[in-house]
Amino acid sequence: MNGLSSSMAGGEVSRRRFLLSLLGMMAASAVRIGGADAAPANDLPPWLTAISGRPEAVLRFGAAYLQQYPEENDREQIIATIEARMEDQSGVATTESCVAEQLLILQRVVRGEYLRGEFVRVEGWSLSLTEARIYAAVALWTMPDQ
Amino acid sequence: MFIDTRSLPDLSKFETDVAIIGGGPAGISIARTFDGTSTRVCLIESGGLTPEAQTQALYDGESVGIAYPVIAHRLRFLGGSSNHWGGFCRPLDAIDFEQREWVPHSGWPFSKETLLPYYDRASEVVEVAPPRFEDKTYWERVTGEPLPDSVTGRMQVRFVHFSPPTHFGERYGSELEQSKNIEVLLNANVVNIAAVGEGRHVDQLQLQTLSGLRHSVRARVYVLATGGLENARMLLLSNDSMPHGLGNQHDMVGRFFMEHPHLSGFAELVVADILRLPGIYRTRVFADGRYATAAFNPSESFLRERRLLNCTFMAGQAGDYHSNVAPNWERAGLHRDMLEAARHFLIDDRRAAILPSTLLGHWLGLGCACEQVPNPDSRVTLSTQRDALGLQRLRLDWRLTEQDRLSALEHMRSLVMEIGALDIGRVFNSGEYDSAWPQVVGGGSHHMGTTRMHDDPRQGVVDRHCKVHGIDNLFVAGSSVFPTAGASNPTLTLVALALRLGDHLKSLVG
Repeated sequence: MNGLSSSMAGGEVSRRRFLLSLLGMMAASAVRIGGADAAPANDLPPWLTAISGRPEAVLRFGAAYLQQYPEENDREQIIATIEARMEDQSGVATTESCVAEQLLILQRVVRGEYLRGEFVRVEGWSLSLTEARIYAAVALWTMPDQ
Repeated sequence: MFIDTRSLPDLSKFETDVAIIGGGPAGISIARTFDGTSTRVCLIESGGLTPEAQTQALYDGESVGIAYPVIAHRLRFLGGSSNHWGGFCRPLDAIDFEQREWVPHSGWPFSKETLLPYYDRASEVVEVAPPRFEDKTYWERVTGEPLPDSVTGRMQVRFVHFSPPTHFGERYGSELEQSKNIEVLLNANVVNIAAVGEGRHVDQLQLQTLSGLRHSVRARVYVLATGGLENARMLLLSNDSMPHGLGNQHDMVGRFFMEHPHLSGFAELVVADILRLPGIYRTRVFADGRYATAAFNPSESFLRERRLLNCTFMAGQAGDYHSNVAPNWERAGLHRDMLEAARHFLIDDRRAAILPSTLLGHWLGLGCACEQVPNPDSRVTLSTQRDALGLQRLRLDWRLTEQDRLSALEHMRSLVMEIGALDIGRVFNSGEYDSAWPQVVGGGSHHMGTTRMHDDPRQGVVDRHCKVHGIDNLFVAGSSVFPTAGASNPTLTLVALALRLGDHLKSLVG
């Protein structure tokens, strides 16, 4: 079984709770992110909650990505961009697949981007575009407007 | 036989068949090819059997290009710089010998095929035989780990053997001492290669000890084997019959100095599941009596397609990260954050379940040694400063080009693509080389190109047999004859060339 299919067991609840707690913690963000107050965490796409690693770590890279690419500072748009890549990869609408499938698709998307050289450097790390956008999406969905 | 020339009467004269200047890997390898024959060999070494500061100081010089400590990269006693050799062995790649239209001044006078039998013999000399430099199947069998194929087509796996390392003075000293036809002159500094006939024939070598004694050696043929920097210096210093130095009628001696820029701190790798990077990529594996490791190299097809220089990447495991141990330096925090952010991409549940729950992953340093394009402006000349023997010191002007830098960056990109696409880990790159070469660039103590080999005397100092153009009895051994540097450590190749030259000299004087 692949790690991405660990999906939505008990880990999701605690991760979501953690993301919610971060709403209060990240008020002093160095960048102005999002066009509105942070979205309620229960609006997070399930695959985004499931794939995110430790939130502080993810936020570090997500915030750095958004500083480099402020034009992507739009939470709906960045999710749509990621899901469009997933749909290109799988040929299936995201709404028509389960979270476990979505995570596998995401893994293939990321691999494919590395293979094609579609990566960006964020805080020194070479990250596939979608991977970097995942981190940015987490940042956008958890960091409040200032 | 060993002879300490400091104990001889002043003005002692030696007569021999083959005089070899320099008791390093090249000189000793050539001398040994004559052991037990009727050919008399005189091996002339500036130092003794152990390092001495006064002798080592003769290596000091100026560095006016990229900062380069010319004294620290070389050792001046029997065995030469093999005395601090790291032991890395790998032959040049076939493409390194070719004339590549995108690499100015590239092309050896012969192909790799010519050197293959000498690579086998050289592998025995440096104690890594039987070599398995390209045999992926062999290493998969002995390690029990499959080695992933390139998914990008940009890279290939190659294997580096590690010599013990062979310190040539220690390893072969007693053999030389007991030889009936080889004399080793110790503490003997060649101060002039005296030529006659308008510089077309070497007549004798003039020697001087640091204590002031002067001796001479006459031979039928002479071999200059003092290292990639000193070979050029000796030719330039020997100017009593040729004002610009021996073999320098076309202003080629000393030009085309090449190193392997070692891009220290260029990149780091974090890996959550260490099994995703087979052990031979990150540690030295012992098999058949010697150690080896795997290297990432660009594929020949990719080099041709993108018109790039060669390159070698090697990884070394540097440390582990645990969630219950706080990072103790800034970069460690960055490594840990990456391992935690990307965890779902880098480890699967089954592996995570059997590893210690606190283990986040590992970090590895990535070493990168690059080929630099042969550049006539990267060169050795003579300084106005003088050494203890009254000889002009060398002046090194090491230069790198944009072509060198951009090529290295493209290979870095390939490595990121491979490692990412194979889910091995994530690569950190400081960006230090993004816009220009930094002020400080490290080398590998690899001194190449200053007496380059070319059949055309206007484009090289020595011909395909390593004979100096225009001089009928002077030969050069060592990495100074390399027309291009490839991305392999040079010792194995310079020993192979020395053995080839030894065979050639046998045909001349035997």
